[in-house]
Amino acid sequence: MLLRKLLRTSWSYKAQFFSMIIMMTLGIGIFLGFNMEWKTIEYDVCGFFEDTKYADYRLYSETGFTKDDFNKIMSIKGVDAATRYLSVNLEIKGKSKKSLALDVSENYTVSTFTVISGEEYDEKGDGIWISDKFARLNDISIGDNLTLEFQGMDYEFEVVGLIKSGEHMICLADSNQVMPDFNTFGFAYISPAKLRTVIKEKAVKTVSDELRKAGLSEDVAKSQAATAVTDEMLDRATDEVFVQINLRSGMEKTKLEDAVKKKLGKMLMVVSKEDDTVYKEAMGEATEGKAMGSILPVLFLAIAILTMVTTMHRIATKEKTQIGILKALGFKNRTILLHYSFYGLFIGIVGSALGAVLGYFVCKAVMSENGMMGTYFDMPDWSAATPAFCYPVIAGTVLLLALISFLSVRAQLRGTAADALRPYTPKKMKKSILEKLPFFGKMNFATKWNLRDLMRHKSRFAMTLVGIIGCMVLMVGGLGMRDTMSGFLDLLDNGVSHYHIEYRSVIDRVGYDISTVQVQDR
Amino acid sequence: MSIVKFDNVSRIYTSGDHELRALDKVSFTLDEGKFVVILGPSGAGKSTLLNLLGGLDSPSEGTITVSGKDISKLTDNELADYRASTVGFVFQFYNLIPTLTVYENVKLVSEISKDALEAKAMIGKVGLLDHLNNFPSELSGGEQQRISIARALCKNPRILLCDEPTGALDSETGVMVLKLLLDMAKNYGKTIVIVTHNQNIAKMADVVIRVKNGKIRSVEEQENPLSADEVEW
Repeated sequence: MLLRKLLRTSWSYKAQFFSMIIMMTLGIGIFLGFNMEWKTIEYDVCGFFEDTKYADYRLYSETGFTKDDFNKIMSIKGVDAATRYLSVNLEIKGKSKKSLALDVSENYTVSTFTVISGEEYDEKGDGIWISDKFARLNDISIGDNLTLEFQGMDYEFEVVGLIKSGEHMICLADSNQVMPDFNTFGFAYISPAKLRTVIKEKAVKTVSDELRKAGLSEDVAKSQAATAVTDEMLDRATDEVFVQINLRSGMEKTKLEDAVKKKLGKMLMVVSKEDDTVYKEAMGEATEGKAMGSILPVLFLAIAILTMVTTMHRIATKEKTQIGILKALGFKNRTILLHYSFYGLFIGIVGSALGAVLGYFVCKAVMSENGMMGTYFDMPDWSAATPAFCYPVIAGTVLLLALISFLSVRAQLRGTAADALRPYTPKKMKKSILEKLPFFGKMNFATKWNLRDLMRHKSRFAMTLVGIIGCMVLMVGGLGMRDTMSGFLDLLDNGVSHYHIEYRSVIDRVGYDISTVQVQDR
Repeated sequence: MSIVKFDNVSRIYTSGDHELRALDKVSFTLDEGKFVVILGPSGAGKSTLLNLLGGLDSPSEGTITVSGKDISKLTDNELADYRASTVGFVFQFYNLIPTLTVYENVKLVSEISKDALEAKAMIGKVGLLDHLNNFPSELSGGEQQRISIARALCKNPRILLCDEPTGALDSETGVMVLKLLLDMAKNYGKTIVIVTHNQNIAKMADVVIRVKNGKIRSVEEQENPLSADEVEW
């Protein structure tokens, strides 16, 4: 019977109930949404990094790494896995302003990729695995041929697989690019065997050109060049091409630097994953999300709770006679308290349930392939992870609402049943400090009345004030963020980057001065 | 046989230094099955007396014994049990729960009373079976008071306490409600205590207790009380 009363009373206070449920939904929704966002970034990104064996450290050497160097690094205690690595940006022949980062991981134990469709990775494979997103936006399918221009030569590769890679999860052509643009820039992997074929073709062509310059006919120059290029030459050229070693290790950076110096006898540039753009940016997004998740939602929740306090108090005073009737009929205080606490609990449960749904959609609006992060991150799985602390916070909020109802009703139940039956009487008024000020008497009647009302309902006045402050913070913060970002971009484009064209030169690693020039026309 | 005994009962309200004696050393006894009217002007202390008897309030001094049990020292929970089982209330403004239907309002008390009577039967006795699913706001004042009587009797209490039961009704409806109240109480063998300032109602009572300024002025037993039809309203 009391349950029916609860439902009907809720309906009779529908405006208050719906506003409280909406506030609760917004509070929980925003709280959950923002916190799910950063947790999902951590969960999905870290999972993806783990799946594709994202490197903990990158070692760079201008002269490249020999196999001997590699073996020495592998022998360092604490290095779990390593690979000689190459990543070079190449233009796609026949497609204007389209380029790829071409990667080769000699040992497929570090810096690998996930195949979305097509053939699995084969270290002796002849084809090319390219970014599925780049392929989709550029109408490239498995079986198509891609011609890449590398150091003045064209190489044709058959697309054998569409992939995603942790190393290129945020796929930027260079440090000046702010957002990935898969329309114009993607990434691809070839096998070490295919790299060796490419280097050999390049070496034969270079030697052949030199021989022709020396006066040999084209046929003779070609046949002589083919025999002149030995395995030792190719090994040396390969060593020079691999200017990077990626490794997985739990060692501290300084210890690794010392160990590398000791093993190789020279100091190398060691970049930890924390300093690598992809990892740093991804974790930066998570940190940003955490900051947002700990400020904005708390504000929303606080406003929801404050609304609940004032509204429940108002409802409890309106319900005072009914509380008294129940008490007079013989209902025990605990039954009445339980009954009215259920109002808060009901609002809390319904608001939390709706908030959970809203939170999921807020999270998905940010963290999904078609969401805001979908344009920044390129990864296969987009889940929705919830930080563990959210569950006790939500449960606590629901219980807090029940407690607010409990306390509001307990105040009405205080005293005897006869007291409870009497209508609500406002507390006694005393002259406030404002009324003692000399100008108070000169104010008009309405102003005096308003000021007295404000002083009489101090807690409600304070809560309203906090609520309005919170809303203003959200509004100014939201609009300010937009203005700040546009100001920042303007500063970056016009204040920091004082150039229109950037030239990049790639040195021919086979020992000849043949250069390719990448031109970025801004 | 006496069912109620007030022994030197006082109820003192304090506000700061100010002390108000709503009841001042009141003593009387009531016999079971009698129709008692507590008569007095506004502010005399009659509602306070009824509240103390109904367990809605506790005395500041003295003892109240109901059915041999001292109710003046009961805890909140024990008082709630007392209200649920021993007394039934009929209020001036009916005090029905507006969000429950007629049937639900009466049925509600069966959740707390062990000896509750059948709710539908009680509604039938007050002649409102056609309004089972109506809400109080859909009923007239007289109908609401009849439901209030049905609710009070549904608990099957030993004492029926009525605070100005006809105070909010026009005289015709008031008489009708009063007759119903007395008939029902007699049929079910209940002791009725009515608080009123209406002298005419006192003519119908077995016992009239006159209260003024928190003190009992007189306790009169009437040999031949009039019926509702004999009283000139």
